[in-house]
Amino acid sequence: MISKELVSSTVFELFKKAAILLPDDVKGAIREAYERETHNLAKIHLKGILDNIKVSEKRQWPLCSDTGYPMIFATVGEETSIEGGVAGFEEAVKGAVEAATRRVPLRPTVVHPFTLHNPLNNVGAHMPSIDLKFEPVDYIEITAILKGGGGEFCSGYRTLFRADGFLGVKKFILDQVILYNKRGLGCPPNILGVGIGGTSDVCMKLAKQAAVLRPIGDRHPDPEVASLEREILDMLNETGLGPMGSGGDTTVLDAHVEYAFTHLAFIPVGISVNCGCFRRATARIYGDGRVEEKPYPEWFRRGSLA
Amino acid sequence: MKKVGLKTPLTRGDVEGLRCGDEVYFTGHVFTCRSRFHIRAIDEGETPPIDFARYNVMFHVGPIVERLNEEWRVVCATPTMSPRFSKWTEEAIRKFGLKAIIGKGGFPGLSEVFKRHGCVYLIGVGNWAGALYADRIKRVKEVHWLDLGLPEALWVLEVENIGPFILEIDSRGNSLYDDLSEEIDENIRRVEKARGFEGFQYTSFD
Repeated sequence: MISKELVSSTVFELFKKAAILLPDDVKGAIREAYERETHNLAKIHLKGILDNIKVSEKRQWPLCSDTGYPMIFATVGEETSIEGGVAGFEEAVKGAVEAATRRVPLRPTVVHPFTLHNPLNNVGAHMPSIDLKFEPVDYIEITAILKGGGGEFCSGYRTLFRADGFLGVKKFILDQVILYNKRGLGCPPNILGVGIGGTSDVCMKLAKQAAVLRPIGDRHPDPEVASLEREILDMLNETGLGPMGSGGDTTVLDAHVEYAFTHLAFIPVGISVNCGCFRRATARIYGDGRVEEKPYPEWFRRGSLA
Repeated sequence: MKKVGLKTPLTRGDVEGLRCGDEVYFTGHVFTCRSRFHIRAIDEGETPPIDFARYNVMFHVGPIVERLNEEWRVVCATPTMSPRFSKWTEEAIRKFGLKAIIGKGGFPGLSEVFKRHGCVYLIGVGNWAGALYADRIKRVKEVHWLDLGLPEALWVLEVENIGPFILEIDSRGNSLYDDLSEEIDENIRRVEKARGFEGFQYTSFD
């Protein structure tokens, strides 16, 4: 049995790591973007980010003051038992977010939507968000995400018709990304997640998971989807919007697409954007209490890259 | 585009010498604010309890602060989205005599306001250099309106060479983003043409 205390201390460490240390795949992508960049101003922006990463590592300070929405995604072994079950897990996660807000510290960003009441601990109704899925594995794999407001602001949804086709899908993605990345609002270069199909909520959820749970450089195993990912990536970078919308070669660091079967009449499209300051940390807790850090989650496809 | 170090409070001459694209660093003081500052100070007309003659650089930011032995310390300060303060911005510049605003995302349509009042607008690098900036914050000089919550409170920060910030709107009303938009719109037209989007219309259901 995995104790609530172990869950809580692990989740605390994951939020701390996510806030301060950029995952290697993201750091590498930013360094490459800097080296490739041909625009002066864009280079200054990317250099600022690289300098920031160094200061965060050295001083153990958060990478960005918008520590955003705390989110947990966990793949739970069907026979892995946790003290207190799912309710116990949720309680442990909330305790960890509260502790991380106080001790990392994270910014107390989460408030009541009507009254603006700030509980000062980033915990409230449906927050932190917790997504669980159950699989035949002998561990819980937990990923902590701090989802910044800049990226979240770029979210979009549209129900397209068959007549609009994938031309319409790409057009919607282009328009949405330009609208929200002009003048740097979505903090480009960022990571695009696209969900196609399902009901509106399912495709938004897939878009979010595609944006935050797949490492940079990962391609979908279905060649048709992988080719759409590459096409979207090229299309968006050809706009020349660049870092902070100041003109440059890299507008998005990667594009990830996930799909669900859907109603024959429609093509629902969800868009979710993750900040270039991609705050993510993953670990597995095994039944015997062993904790293993992982470089990225294996949420979508166990055994493959992501 | 030049690198410029300025001491606060800024003078008219300081800001008039700045041009779009300059890399600017500040030494002296900046004060922070977000929406709730504007609501209280502009909509509700309550006078902020700080000396604007000394503090004329406004920083749109909700910093992360921690308390160490009775002292506050800022550990991260990333600029936040400025256009959402647009409706209060001219009044804030006029009322408090601001000479510079640091933020994120530009002020579409407000360049004339900056020109009229001799103020400039700057953006952060990459927009997530909050730890880098915090490293240049020497101490918290004053804090007011803590009842608005830590991110929304009015923090006066003593800074040493904080930057770089990129000059986005100069005191003549030029905007870096406006200057770039033609080139970017042209790129977008090219992308749309190459991808076959020209003339595309979504199925109408209205």
